[in-house]
Amino acid sequence: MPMSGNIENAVSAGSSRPMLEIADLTYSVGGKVLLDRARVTVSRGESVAVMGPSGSGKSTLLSCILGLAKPDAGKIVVDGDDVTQLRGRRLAKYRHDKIGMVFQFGELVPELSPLENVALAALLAHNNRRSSYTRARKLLEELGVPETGRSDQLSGGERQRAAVARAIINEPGLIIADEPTGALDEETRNQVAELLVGLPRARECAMLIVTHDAAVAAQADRAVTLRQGAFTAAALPKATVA
Amino acid sequence: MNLRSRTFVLLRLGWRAGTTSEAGTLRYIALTLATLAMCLSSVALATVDITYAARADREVARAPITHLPDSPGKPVALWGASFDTVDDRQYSVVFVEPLVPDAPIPPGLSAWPAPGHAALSPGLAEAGHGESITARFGVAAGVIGPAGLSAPDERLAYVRPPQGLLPKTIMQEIEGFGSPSQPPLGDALFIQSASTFRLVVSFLMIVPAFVLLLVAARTGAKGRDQRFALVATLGGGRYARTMISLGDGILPIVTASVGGLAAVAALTSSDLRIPFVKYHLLAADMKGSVTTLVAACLISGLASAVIVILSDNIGPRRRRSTRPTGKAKSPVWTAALAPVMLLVATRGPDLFPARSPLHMLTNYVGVAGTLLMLPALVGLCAKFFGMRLASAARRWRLSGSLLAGRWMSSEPRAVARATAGIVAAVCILIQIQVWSSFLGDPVREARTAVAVAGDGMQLVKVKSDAAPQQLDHFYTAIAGIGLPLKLVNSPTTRSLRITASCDALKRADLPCAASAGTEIRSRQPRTRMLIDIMDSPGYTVSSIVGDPAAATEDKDSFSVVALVSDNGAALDRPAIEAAAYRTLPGGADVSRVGGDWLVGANVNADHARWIVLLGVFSLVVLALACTLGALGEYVRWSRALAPISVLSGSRRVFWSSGAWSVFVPITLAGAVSIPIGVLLAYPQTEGGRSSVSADLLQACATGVALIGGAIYLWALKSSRDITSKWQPNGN
Repeated sequence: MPMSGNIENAVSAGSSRPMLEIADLTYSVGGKVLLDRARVTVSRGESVAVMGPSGSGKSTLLSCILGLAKPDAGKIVVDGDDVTQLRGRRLAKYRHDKIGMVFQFGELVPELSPLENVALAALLAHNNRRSSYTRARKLLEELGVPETGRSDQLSGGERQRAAVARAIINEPGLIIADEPTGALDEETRNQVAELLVGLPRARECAMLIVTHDAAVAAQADRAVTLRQGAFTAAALPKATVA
Repeated sequence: MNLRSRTFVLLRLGWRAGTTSEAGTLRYIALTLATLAMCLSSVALATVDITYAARADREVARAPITHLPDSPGKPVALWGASFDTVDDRQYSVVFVEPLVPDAPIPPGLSAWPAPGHAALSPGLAEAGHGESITARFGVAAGVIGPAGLSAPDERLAYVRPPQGLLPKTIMQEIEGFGSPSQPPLGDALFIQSASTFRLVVSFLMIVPAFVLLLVAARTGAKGRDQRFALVATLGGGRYARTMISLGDGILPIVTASVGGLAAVAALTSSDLRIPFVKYHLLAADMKGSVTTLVAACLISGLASAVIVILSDNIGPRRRRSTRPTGKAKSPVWTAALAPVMLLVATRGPDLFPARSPLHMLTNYVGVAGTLLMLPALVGLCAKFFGMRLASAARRWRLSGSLLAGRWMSSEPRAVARATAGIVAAVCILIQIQVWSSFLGDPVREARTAVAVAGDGMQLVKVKSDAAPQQLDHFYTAIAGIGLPLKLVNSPTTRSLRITASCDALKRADLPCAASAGTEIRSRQPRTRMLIDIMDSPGYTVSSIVGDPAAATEDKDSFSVVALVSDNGAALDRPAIEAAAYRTLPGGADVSRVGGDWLVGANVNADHARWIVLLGVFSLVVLALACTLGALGEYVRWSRALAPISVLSGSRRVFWSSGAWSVFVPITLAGAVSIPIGVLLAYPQTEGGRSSVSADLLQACATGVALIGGAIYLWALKSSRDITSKWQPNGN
């Protein structure tokens, strides 16, 4: 039986209560145990990279944090809410208020403009229309993404920056990213990685980033490896960053 | 943000997404047509109820209030209903005789007809134009107005016979008009019941429209499913997803609903003559129920919106993935229900007595259920077929087939959508043919028989209350028209005796015998047919020279007079009919040999015309469903294949993948549907009541292959257009 992961935050950015607390999380599918009493915490202002081989359960972990998958046991507490207990409206409110997600391919609605894509997240969080669009416009300007045109016409870097803008527009306490640089060239990858790992301190939130890329993981405050259902600390030299 | 403002923004986002999505135009067309079909079907269903209710009101208004011995009112008139025939169809003739000067006039008449006069409905005057109908009852001196007719085309006559020719046995004393409890009169005797009509409209209009709606709602579903999965991940609740979905589909739904309302406006503004069945829908009836019609239309629009929203919300099932794929599971349960529904359709009716409403209803429910579930089964078959195809293609290095096989195995629901129309079309076409055969075959046989008999012999059935003197007058009146033969069937003597002059017997190719007793035969087909009609098993058939007017009858016998042409030419039937009404109480039934058979068969033939008309609507709608469903899926498929085609510089990949993913599923659906359609028709064909035409099955197979080919070519054209516009984007 693998040793259950128990990596407490080595780096804390001043908050006493962790923004994300995963305790004894167990998840199995088809007889295979993907998460075995896994434990990890991420504090406000901290970025943590999760690495691990394919099929190790990294994306499943994100699904559990998003409330898309229900774990067999354990708790996932985000800013005081136990995600495993949330249903319906409370789960929807949790998703748009407390969490921001960056997908591997951006996952923008192709028929909408970048501005509309970013504003959509704010509108779904019941924000005022004018303020939603104003904030979306400001974020896109800061990140250097055009507002208009179809989103599927954006370059890979623009698409991911627009996805970042969408993830942070509601000022969530936790941002999670699933292979956000997986589809990018090296230069764009570094720009997006830099942007992402800079977010926790710039916006006082926590960041959990799932990546295969050691260079990206090395930019995070901490890196952990998910192996046999448990987290272990990963040692990554800063030199790996291009 | 207040709810109104948020709703507006979400609707607008849905609108934007819908108008610019990859299959946006196709879905717009599909949803518009589907909602319009739903609106028209619902309006048709409402029209059935409105029309039957309005007919019933007018039928009550003209129904006589019978004077009973203990009723306080006084009799004001004599009233009696009988039948006559025109254009080989029966209609009602009402004999009237006012008893007091101020007797209330029947609805639709401006005055009581004078003795020897008649008032005809416009429908009867038109139908009987070639049969001198205006001279049949004496003097045609009036027209029955709309208030006296259940429908504008109804065939009806009010006849006031000359003095002494009232058919007393059928006359009753009446106190006026407006009885709600009289037996039906006029067209009500010959039309289908409202419940049957509702069932036919539901099956041939609502079900196909619903199939089209399901296909249309899921056109280009892949992109929308991803969008909704993403919105859910971003924290969009059910309300947000509903509003975005509504915004996406609202334009075509509103467009179609406006189209439906325009149809309602047309129905209420002027009378409409429905082509092919030539039935008049009265604007006045529709105006009285305009709220119902508008409600039917709006409810259809609303139902379409609900289906669109549900399909968007049910489509993207929750998956254990951090990527919003919006991928749906295989429709295993729906597919498993298809054989169950097939069993309900074929064996379920056996649980109830034949011809009972539940017997028919079970069959219809089973057929409708099978049509809705069968596409899922086709989809599942395609999934396994696709797996095999991909495996074989990989072995034989066939890239297009490999792609198509993978697509078919991963998208069984898409295959189900693409083939739903063809499955339903084939099964409904077989049902229509079986019904038409059941209702229409007898009329074809009857027409053949009547054609063989020709017009050189006419049968006259005299009503029972004719006095001998009146019969003499009748024979005198027809003396110059033809030679009479009287046929008397007597159960007492177990004989059929034909009495006529020797000349008349010779004309009928019958022997001139001085006494009865010899079994006779005739070489004339019409005479043989006449004897077959009048004969009974085990009876002796004989002919005897004598005066037909004096031929003896006992109380159990029944008789008919056959008039035969003395020179072989056609007899003047209108003249015989006019002579009968001029000399006999209540006239006489005059028809060609086999004419009764034709008259009875024509009632069913007229019903069959409705089935054919509604069936055409059904097939057009289902053909649209098939085309749009297949194209909708292939457009997305083409976009996915565009880079491969561009990079390889060859479009051959489209040829083979299109053949496998468009042509093969459609022909496969046709191949599955034909035997299942035959099975579904089993309750109708059981015991030889009707039959499935082999020609139709052959035509079905050819038609499906042609449709599959046409859609395949269209799909190739679409893919060529998409490829020529494709450009790489993103990194």
